[in-house]
Amino acid sequence: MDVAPQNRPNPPKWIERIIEYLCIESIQDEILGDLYEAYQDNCSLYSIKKAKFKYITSGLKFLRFSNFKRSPIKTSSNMLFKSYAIIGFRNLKRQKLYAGINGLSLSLGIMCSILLAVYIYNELSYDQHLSNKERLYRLNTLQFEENGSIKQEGTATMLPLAPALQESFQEIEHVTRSFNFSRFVQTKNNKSKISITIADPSYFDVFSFKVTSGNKKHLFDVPYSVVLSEEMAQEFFGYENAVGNTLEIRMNKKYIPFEVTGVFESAPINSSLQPQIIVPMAILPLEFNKELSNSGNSWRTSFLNTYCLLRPQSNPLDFNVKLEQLWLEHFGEDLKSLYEDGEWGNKNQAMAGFRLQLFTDIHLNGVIWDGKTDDSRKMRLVYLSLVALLILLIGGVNFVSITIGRSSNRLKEIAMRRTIGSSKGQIRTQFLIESMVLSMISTMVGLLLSYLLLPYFGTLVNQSGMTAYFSISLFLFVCVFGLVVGFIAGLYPSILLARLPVAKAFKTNAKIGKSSTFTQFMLGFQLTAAAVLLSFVLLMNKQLSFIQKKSLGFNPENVLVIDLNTANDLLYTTFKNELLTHSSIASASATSRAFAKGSMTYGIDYKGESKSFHYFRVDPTYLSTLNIELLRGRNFNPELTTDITEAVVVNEAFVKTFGWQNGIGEVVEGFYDGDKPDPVVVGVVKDFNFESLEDRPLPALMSMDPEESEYENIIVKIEAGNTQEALQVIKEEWEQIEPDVPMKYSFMADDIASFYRAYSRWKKILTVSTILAIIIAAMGLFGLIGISLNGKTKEFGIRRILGANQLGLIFQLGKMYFWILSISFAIALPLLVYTGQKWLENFAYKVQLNGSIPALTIFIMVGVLLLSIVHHALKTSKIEPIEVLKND
Amino acid sequence: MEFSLGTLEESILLLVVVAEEDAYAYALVKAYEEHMNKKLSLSAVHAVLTRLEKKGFVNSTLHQAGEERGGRKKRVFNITNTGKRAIEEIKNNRLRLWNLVPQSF
Repeated sequence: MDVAPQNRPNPPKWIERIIEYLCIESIQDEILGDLYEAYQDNCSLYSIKKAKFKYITSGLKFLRFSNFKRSPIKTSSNMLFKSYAIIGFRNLKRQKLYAGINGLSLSLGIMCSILLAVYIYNELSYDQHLSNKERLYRLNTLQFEENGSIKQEGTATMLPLAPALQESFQEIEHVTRSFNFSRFVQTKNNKSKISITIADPSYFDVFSFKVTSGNKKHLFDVPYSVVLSEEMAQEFFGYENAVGNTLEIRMNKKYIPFEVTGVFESAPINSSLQPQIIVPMAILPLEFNKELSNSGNSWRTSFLNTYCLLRPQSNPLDFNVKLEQLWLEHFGEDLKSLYEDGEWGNKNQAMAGFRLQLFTDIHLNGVIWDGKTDDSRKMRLVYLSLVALLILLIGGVNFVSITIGRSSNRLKEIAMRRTIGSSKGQIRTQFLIESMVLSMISTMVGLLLSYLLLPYFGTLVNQSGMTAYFSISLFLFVCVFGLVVGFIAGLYPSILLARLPVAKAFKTNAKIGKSSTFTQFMLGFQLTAAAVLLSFVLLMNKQLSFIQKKSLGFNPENVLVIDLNTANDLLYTTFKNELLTHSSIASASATSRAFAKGSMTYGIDYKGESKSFHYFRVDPTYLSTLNIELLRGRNFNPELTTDITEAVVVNEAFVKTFGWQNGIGEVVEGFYDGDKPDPVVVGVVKDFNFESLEDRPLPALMSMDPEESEYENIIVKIEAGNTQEALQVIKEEWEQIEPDVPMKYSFMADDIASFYRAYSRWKKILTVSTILAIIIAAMGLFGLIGISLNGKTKEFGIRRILGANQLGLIFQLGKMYFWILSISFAIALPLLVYTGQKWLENFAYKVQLNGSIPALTIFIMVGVLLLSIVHHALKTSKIEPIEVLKND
Repeated sequence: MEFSLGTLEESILLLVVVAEEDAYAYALVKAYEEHMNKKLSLSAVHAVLTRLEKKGFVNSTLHQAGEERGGRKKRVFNITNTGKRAIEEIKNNRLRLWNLVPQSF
């Protein structure tokens, strides 16, 4: 394929450029000329393409080290940098221990704070994935005091609320209702109990969960349709396409087929809502008719969440005002009559209303727990951020003060450099660069460590997938931080050392940093921070183990909780009677909700006042099964049929809430809606803590009325030590009564423990980070003492010759540090008292913040200080005085 | 006098002699491929020539060249006396050894 030479394209120009850029000028011509000739020849031999390729490959082969331009002749500054590097490196090697402490403390500080920052970021990222999140709200119900202030806030709303909103308000773009309940779900592949969400078809308009298969507009055209998360689709249908298949949900004692009409993307881990299986509201009248007719459909019963998406221009505050009017103007005869009868407060003043809460606020700010806003998550984040900041500061301060200390040992080197003509600027540069290089290395180590430890940290905080937060911006931020720390650490000695007169620097005893107020200040700060952290963690550990040991008011040991799935009372009675024939079963009972599985909150109108309490439906063996102590009156009597509707047992808190003296014989007025006579209190039991112990004991009422609630759980007390046998027996009996439902059970003690999991997790995080902070601070202390001792070897030699013993030396050494430590305590103590008291206010049952915690803190810190002093003093006293004094 | 010459260096040095007035890298590559029946890369020859020059076996001068090299100069190599002696000695050593090889080989 010969092309005439003048028509050939030129060889690629870039090879020429590279060679011209990299290779020595004197050989450029010959190389390029040869390449050109070869190219021309190759063009006549092969295709142009191949010739070009050969040109490129043989051109690239010239890029070898021997052909490269040499760097220009070494300038003096290059030589200086080399010398800096050598000297710096030798210094690191000579002072391995202190250099190690120096770098490691910064690495650990950075590691710890990165991990905490990642956790904090994850908490802040909750629900941020939803589109339209800035106009997505949850409707909360409010109850007001007589003076108009908010008495209670709740998330449960009424069934007719959403349609009324949609109808009356322009501002609403979409509104959806949802509530969850657990049911058994089966396909041919799988069978298990899943939390099912009942929602309006507009659910997917309000929440931007992506529908991956199925038609988003026609998901809920028929009542018996169901939409699955990808996770559920995978679980119940494996790899086959779920849409169009049938899934059976157990309702009203039989499995009912639902057609799968869509699959949506599972919610990310940082989502407050975790819908799994969604069925339409349309099944309510079909499957929940009994509950609906039981006033479920009225404005008086709140049981589901209402979420709405406002139109872009609307103002939520204005809307809140309109919502308040809703109570008085719009809401059905039902409520009006209440006002007119004077049963519900003053007619002219709204006793209740609504509030829009921004959906993204829910995770941190709006966890509503028993009518109160729970800001504990937010508080925890604030605490954690403070801890992270403190640790980062301790690490940074350590780095700075040890760098200063280490450089004070290099006065001779500086004097030497100055003598042979180094300028002050050069010495400054030397120290700055040295400390910045070291700080960058430590920063990188810290980054690497945090990356490696993240999975373990993830299991500690029970949060997976946090690696995603390791982003370029985090990396850059940490690097900048490392550089700044390095700069500050280098700046102080560089200025101070460069300023020192040469003659003075040559003197052996000249030192900086030894008595520098700056270093002392830094040390003081560190010790204060460590003392605050340590004492707070001690307090927290004491408090949390206290509440975990606090008597619950019932005994959860050896109690098995079995989920009942719409079983009828008769089946339960058979089951119970069968169980009791076995010797391994101590007792059995049933309840509407076992403790730690949630509870039902009732609000009633008692003599014109609204009262709320927790309701449990129980049977007569309930109290004995859980060892709840009866204080006054009697338990339910199984012989008396009137007890079923007319008798209730309450706890002490209930008596207090209702303002009774004794409680026995009191009528719980307003308990029943219709003509049914209100029940009488027959027994009062000791308070039991079925929810978080932070709160005061909650008022609770127990009745046997089957119309109030179904049994959701059977609780079985097993004879101690017979667990395996008992489980076997229970399973066999279960198969007799519910052959097509697998038995789902848990131990009550475990359920209770999981209630405190948030606390123990939080405790673990803080304890671990505090231990790290203390270690870093201790490292700094140890390093600083050691460095300041280096300049004191002569003094110690003379002291020893004059007869000082080791104790005296330790005392000499410790004097200054004890001063700093005392000042730190003086600052830390009020801080502890203030924050500690504030924190303890969260708890109903709390430990005393007495002297033991500060004492323990002082003990630990003084211990660490003494250990490092003793170590160094012993080391110094081992040196023979003659060794240090012979040169003078 | 000791001469350390690799096989490739020896061949290239010989080729420089063979090429007489026109011994530059690309020409030597072509000659090598022609006479020795082996492929050789331009950069390798270049490196060998540089090494030979450093050892003092060849010297070089830059010559102007025309369009065929895209206007680039070329470096033409000439063997030095040391170089001559080196290859002669190698040749003689080889011949001596060959003479010692028995007839039966």
